[in-house]
Amino acid sequence: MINNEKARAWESADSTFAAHCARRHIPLRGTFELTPRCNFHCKMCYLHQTSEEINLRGKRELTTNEWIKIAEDAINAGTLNLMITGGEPLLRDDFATIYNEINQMGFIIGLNTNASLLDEKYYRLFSKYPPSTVSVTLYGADRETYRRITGNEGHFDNTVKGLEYLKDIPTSLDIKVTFIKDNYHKLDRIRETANRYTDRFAINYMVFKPVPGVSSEAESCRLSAKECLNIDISNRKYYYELRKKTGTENEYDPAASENDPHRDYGLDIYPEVLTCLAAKAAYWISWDGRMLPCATFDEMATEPLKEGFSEAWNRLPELFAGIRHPEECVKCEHFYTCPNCPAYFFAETGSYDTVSPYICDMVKERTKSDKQEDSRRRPQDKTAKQCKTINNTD
Amino acid sequence: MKIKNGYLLRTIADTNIVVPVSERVIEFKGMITLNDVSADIWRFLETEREFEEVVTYMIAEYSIDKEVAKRDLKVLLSQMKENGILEYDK
Ligand code: SF4
Repeated sequence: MINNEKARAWESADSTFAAHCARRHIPLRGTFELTPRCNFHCKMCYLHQTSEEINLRGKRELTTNEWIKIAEDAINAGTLNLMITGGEPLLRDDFATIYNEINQMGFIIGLNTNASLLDEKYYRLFSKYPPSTVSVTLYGADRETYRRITGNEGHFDNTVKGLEYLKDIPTSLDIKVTFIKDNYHKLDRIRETANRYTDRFAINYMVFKPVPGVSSEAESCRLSAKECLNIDISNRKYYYELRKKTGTENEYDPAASENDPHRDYGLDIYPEVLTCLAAKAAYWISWDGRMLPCATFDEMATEPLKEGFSEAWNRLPELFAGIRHPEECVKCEHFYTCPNCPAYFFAETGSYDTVSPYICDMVKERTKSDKQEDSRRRPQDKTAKQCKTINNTD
Repeated sequence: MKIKNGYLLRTIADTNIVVPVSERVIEFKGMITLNDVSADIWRFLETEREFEEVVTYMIAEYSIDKEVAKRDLKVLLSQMKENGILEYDK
C-alpha cells in the first residue's frame, strides 16, 4: 500500500479540522448514497430496495447529471471528504461516469462497497484513479454464512475476488463487519480473512430497524446486549494480546479509539441534540436527492436540488429545533458515553424522545462489565474524562 | 519548475488546502495545508517559473529583502520537493 503513513497522519489531522469546520458550519464531509439497490439481500439491511419497490413508491434515483450538479455545489460549499455509498454503488450503470467527473473536482474520496462487483473494468478505473479509501463490508469467512446473511453463497466467492483486485489498488483499504446471530461465532475467522487484505479491521454490532417502507429482519437477527458485549470484549482481547506481543498499537485497536472526539466537540455546537458532526460539518444525500444529517435521520430532510445546496445545508440544523433528549437520558449517569442519538431512538421507537430499550440495555450491560473488567484495559474513567473535555471547550 | 498537474488548491473555512486529484492520489494521499503566503506562491508556481522570478515576485508582493525571500523560498521548495509536488522543465 502506498503512502499509508501519510494517509494516517492526515486522518488524525482531519478530526481537528472537522471541529474547526463544525464551529463555522461548513459542510466538510458529505456522503452520496448513489442507490438503495444492492445485489446482496442482507437480512438486516435498513435500506435495501429493488427497482420495483422504488417505482411502486413513486420515487426515482437521481440521474447522472443530478449527482454531478450536487457534487459541483458541494465543492463550492466547502465539502472536502466525500463518501460514495449505496446500496451497492457499483451497481449503477453510470458509476464510472459519475466517479470520473467528481474525481477531478477536488474531493478526498472514499468508497463503500461489498466488493463483489469489482471486476476487470473497475480494477482498471480504480488503478488509474484510486479513491483515497475503500471500505468493504464483509459478512463472513465462508459461503454458508454468506448464504444465510446475503441470500447467496456465491457472493462470498465474488467478494474474495473483489478483495483480490483491491489488494493491488493503491488505496487505503478498510474491512468492516456487522455481527448478527448468523456470524456471531465467527469473529476470529472473519478477522483472519480480513487481515489477508488489510489490518484495518472494524466491527459493528448495532443493527437498527429499517427506514420507513423497507422490510428487514433486523429485530430477529440482531445480537442481544449480552452478545454485543461478548463480541466487543473478544475483539478487544485480540488487540490487547496483539499489542502485548508486538508492542505497538494497531489503529483499529479499540483501546486506541476509546475517546470519540466527535462527542467532545459536537455537544456544544447547535443543534446540541446531535452529539456527532451531523448537520454541523456533515451531511448525507439520499439516493432520491434529499439532504439528511446522516443515514439514520431519514425523516429530517431538506431539498438541495430544489432550494439550492447552500440553502438546504443552512436550513438543516433548524429541523432539530424542537427535538430534545429524553429527560431520562439527561439525568442518566451514562449520558456522555451512550449512543443516545435521537435518530436511533426514532428508528427504534418511532419517537425522538422515547428511550430505546435496545440501546439502553446495551449501555448498561457494558457498564456492568466495565466495572468488573481488569483495570489494565481501562486505565481511565471515560465518563469523567469526557465531562472534563466538554467543560473545557473553547 | 512548476507545480505538477493534479494538485488543486482549495480554501475551506479560511484554510488553504491542497488536494491531490485523479492519478495524483496514487503518489500522494491526504492533503497539505498552506499559510496565505505559501498559498500565494503556490498559485504563482502553477505556471512554469525560474527561481529568481519567484524571488522577484515575493519581494514585490511582500516588501521583503532579497535574502529573506530566497531563504523562505528555499524552505518552501524543499518541502514541495520532498513531497514530489514540483516538476522541472528538462
Ligand atoms: S443508558 Fe439509557 S437512559 Fe442512559 S443515556 Fe443511554 S439510552 Fe438514555
